[in-house]
Amino acid sequence: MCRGAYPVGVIELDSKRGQQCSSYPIQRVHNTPGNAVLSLGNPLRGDDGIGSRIIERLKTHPLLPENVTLMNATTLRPEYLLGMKAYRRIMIVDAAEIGRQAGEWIRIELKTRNISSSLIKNFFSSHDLNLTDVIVMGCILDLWPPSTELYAVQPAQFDWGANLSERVRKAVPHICDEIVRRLSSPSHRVVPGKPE
Amino acid sequence: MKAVKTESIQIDIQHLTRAEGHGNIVVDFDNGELNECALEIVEAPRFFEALLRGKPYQQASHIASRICGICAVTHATASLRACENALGIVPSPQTTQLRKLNILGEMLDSHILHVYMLVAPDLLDVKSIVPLASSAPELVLRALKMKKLAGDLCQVVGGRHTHPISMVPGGFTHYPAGESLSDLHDRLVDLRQEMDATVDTFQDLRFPEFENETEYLALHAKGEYCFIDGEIVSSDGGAWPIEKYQEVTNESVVHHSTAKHSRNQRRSYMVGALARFNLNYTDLHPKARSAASALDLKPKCVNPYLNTVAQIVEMVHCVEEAIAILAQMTPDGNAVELPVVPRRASGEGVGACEAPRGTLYHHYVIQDEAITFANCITPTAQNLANIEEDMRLLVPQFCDRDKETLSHYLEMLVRAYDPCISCSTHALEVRFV
Repeated sequence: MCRGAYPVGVIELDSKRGQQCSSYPIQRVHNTPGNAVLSLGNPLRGDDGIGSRIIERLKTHPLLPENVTLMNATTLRPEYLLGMKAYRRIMIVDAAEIGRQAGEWIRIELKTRNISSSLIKNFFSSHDLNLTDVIVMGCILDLWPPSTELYAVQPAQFDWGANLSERVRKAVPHICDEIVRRLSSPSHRVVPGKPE
Repeated sequence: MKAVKTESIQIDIQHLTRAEGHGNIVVDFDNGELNECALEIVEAPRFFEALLRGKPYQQASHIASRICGICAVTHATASLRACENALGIVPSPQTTQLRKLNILGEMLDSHILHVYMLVAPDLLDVKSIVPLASSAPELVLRALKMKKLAGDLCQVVGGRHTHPISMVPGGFTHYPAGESLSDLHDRLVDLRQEMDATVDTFQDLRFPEFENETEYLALHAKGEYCFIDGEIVSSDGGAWPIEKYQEVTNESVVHHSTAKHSRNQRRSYMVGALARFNLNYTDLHPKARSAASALDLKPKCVNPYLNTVAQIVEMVHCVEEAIAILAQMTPDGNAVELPVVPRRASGEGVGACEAPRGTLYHHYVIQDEAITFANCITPTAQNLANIEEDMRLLVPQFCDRDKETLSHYLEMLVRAYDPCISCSTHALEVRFV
């Protein structure tokens, strides 16, 4: 689960309620290398497993463009950075405390360019390397994709077990459709060699 | 310039950074008297032994593995060995080699994490690995490359990077393909360059000069640098079968810690890479001994800060031993063996392994295939009393430094032990009167 603020620089582009769905049809797009969807969170801790569920659903989504890499990561280990350079865009899905109703979600675009030297100098990690640490480190090492979108879903509970709460469960198809729509839409598509 | 002894120092670090789990360093030094000097472990016990009770022995290694996300393979292996010893299961030589390979991968992974990501920032005067990526990118990229390979080794052998799924009592449920083993072998051969670079980097870095001549304990077996089974040996003399581990650990409850403290022949003892290096030096791979020489590390070393250097030596050993094991297994891969079945349904057994942080014990009583008693003693718990002994010696020696420097030395000291604080907490025995 994502916690706290993102010092990387954050722009919240849009937010959608869990009941809302894409209002226009999409067609399957072929050959879109350079895009990856990565889920974080523990699939055995209730709504923290939202990312994992979305990856599973995307695997069988009839309109998912070809060559999109789906990664069920649970945590973002720093060594995963070595494989990130292959992508132009990464979409991260995780449960996050965003102060909304359970099942509501927002899409956040992370501005990962021009990280200030004072931020880097004072960066410290108390125990482990969290999502922000790894992203910042990836940017410094020029390994992180130029385009990053975070799909943050408000959880209801983190109880033991693989079950999502009803409201979060209902959000899964809508988030999948939105991810597929953005991967498929010419205006949102990221082409290798042409940063968005 | 003559140092001026500080009259009074109060240090209260809440919480220690760049260590797994929550621990506080508390020091009260007044008029040359050390009134208080403690490493407080403030995390709640996690009751894993209670979780194990009543469970089928076949589930034990998978539950025990969750004690730690860093030492998962070692917990699983110690758990399997405890069950196997209880039920009369003798694993095949191939199973033993595969388990050893998995532990080598985990040892490498954990040591890289500690050496590069937790300790190197102190030695290079930055706050964490993140600014280090800016000031020394080649060093961080090297660490990531090494860590990736160590994780891949665990994944190929154990079925996944953390919490191995294919290791079961008596054997494995899945065997890696010959091509996977061959690929790992070739990548590990290439990794020798990174190991040489690691030695080069750290031989130029300076650690605090501090000594505490203490008792060192490790597992020992003839003819190998022991990570699994063997017997318990002490630098003060003496050897114990692993079944007698409680005669060595002698755990006791202390008021300021949710983890117990241990002592053997002195007030405290140390386990971990430095203890293994001191006790099993002659069994290290020759290349690891060469690395030790290049790093100016000789047995018996009594500077706890150099536990990190001993870990670098062990990294060389792990790479070389893994290459040797993989060379025997490729290109045909492993023979498919069914797990060895137990000879009985009830019994009592102890399993012991060397985790990255030191000796780990699992002890179970099994009745009709269900666990009725479990005891797990982690290396960090065994080290806590020794860390406090070090702190008590260090504060008067370094009290001429300013408070910030002394605090930093204390943090570096605790960090040097590579503590896994969350795993060290233990259910305390409560007696109702």
